[in-house]
Amino acid sequence: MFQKEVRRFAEAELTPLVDIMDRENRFPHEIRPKLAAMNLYGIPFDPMYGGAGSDHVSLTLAQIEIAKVLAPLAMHMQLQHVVGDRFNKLATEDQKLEWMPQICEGTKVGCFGFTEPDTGSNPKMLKTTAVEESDCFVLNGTKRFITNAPWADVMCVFAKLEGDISLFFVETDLPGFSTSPKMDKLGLRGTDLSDVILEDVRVPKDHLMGGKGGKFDALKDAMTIGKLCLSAQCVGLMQASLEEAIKYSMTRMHFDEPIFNLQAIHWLLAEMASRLEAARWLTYRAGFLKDQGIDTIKDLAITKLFVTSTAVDVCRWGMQVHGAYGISKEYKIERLFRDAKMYELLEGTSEIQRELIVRRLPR
Amino acid sequence: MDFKLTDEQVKLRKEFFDVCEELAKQRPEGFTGLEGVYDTDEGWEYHLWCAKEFAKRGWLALGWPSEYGGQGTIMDKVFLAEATGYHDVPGVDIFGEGMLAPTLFAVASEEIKREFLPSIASGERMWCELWSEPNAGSDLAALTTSAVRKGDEYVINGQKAWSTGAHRAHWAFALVRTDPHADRKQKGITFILFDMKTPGVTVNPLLYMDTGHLYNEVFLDDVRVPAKNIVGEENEGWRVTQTLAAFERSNLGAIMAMHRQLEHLVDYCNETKVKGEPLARNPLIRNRLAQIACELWAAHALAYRIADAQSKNEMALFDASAVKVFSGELQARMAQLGTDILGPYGQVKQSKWASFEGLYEKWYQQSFILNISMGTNEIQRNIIAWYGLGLQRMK
Repeated sequence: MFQKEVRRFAEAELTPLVDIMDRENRFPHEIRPKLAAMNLYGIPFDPMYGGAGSDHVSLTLAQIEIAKVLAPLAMHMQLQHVVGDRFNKLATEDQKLEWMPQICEGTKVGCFGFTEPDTGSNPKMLKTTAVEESDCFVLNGTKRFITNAPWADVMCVFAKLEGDISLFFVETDLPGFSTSPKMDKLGLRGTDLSDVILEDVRVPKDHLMGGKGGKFDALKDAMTIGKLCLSAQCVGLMQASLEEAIKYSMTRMHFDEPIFNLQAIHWLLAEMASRLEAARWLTYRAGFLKDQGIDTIKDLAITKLFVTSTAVDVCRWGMQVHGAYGISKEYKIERLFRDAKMYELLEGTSEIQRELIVRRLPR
Repeated sequence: MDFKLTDEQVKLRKEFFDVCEELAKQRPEGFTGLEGVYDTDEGWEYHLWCAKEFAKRGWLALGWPSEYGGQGTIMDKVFLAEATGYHDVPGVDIFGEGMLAPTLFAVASEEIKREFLPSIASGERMWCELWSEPNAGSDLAALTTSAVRKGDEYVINGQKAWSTGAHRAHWAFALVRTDPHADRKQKGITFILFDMKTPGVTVNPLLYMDTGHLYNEVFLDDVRVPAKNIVGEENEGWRVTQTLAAFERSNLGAIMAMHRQLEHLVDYCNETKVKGEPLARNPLIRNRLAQIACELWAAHALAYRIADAQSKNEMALFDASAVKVFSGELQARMAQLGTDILGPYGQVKQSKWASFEGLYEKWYQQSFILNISMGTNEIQRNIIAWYGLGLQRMK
């Protein structure tokens, strides 16, 4: 029922936004109240904090349906969940009561700052620093590839404090907080991405989340939600690719019959459908494990590794079915192909996922 | 075949590479490949300038008979393709010099050859191909654009699609249907040449996925073309297209472009540190670079074999399909590897954040073209199965 509702919502409300995000590379802020009205900003969070009180399987289903129509918007939703989850797990009760309802209502937008120009996926290379003063922490550094940054209200910032990684939430209107011009990129356009520059940003002491140090685990935990959402978004892209490929092949005539009748097309569609189902069930399983509270770092790494690379293949095959029309702006498939490529590199590259998996294999 | 080049060939090949290296220094920022030629005014001007530079050396008439101003051999043409591909330099009109000129030598009248070949050799007239239509791509013989003879003219009506560079080209070579009642769809097609400024020709862009303007749809409304502009006989245009085997089809240009990309990546991995270690020491990256190098050299050897066979007039029809499939799919894997190694920096468009002028973001999107243009890989595999392996024809 929930899945069908989100599907109806996505098809009706998000379809008109596709060109705004992809062609104009602009985020349609007018959609935020509608996403909030559907409870799509805080699906697994307690209603006491403004959430829908549901679970991660539901989050997975919603992400699939949203991404099937407009993946970058699902990415925006993902960030709200990642930031909301940090508050849920690490903030004080008062902070949760203050911030989480605003995040779930979409009146406050969050962004998540770990990656830096020289770190990539490597936490040891983190250069952003936090220095404790009598009444605050002073943050300095640069964060890179930060989604939502140009207009976010609050940012979760990882920084080195006394030699260890700590996590802060930083209101973006503080003096010293600035963003670079937004980056133009291959896919997931409309999700504004930029650098964040922190220059002597004075953060109140109670904005240190979960105490000093030891927050590499908080990063890995946050990334499990990110990876779950990314994987679900890839499933949505694959589903859309398959549907588009079928639709096109049924109507495209070649040699006096629809190309759907050609065996070469059968093979492509069958491969797409098989990989999609494998990816879909692996992703459902990841959501289920997250709900069970089982250590999901390995399982989410496996899911992300498989699903994101599979999405690139499936969307490429979808383009191949379209022939020359696949590369033109007149068909949806080229956007799905560009969007799919972005996922291989987000929330840790495939190489990092392999490392995370191998370290956790039974020996 | 003998892979060893003669001393003369080595010298000429080096000259091609040296000249292209010089020309590459004038390349506009962000210029790459065919999209670079057709997308912007700067790219088009650069293409025309390079064409003049090649023309004054006689390099746009390589392998032509000397009575038409030609010099050298078809292998020399292959070496030039290697040099232009490696240095990402335009100047050779793939339609005029690459496709039309060999067609004219094979089937055109002396009058047509004398009229149209000089401006190809001088780089002054650029061409486009008007073959595909909205409902005639892989099934090209299904084309419906009509040409009706009226006196000493043909009046052409119809729509063409996927016409590369039609918005820039000076002239076009088109396939049109002159006999709609022929008993087979391959019959009744005529190969004809006309000026793109002829009244009734309208060109609209078909934007590529990266928004580049490379392809077009071309509307032909009562376009009047002198009847003397047909190539070969009326209604025999399909046979004219079958002379395609005479074209330079080794794909060495694309293969050399990949060699250059591989060198870029190797340099990048030697210079870029992650976790304090050069990427070059990452076993996974070493493995993947080594693998792509193996595949690239296999493609190179295959392309040379085909160029050699072609120069001896021994090329089988499916040879070109084989190298197209192999090098096209390799190009996609190469782009995948490049974007994997560069990480998010490989997905950012040209800006201060992008490595290699943002070219990998472009190359990733462009890496798909070879697998669908000039007959999709599915069609190519069918040709290999049919002509090459002797499997029964599907229909």
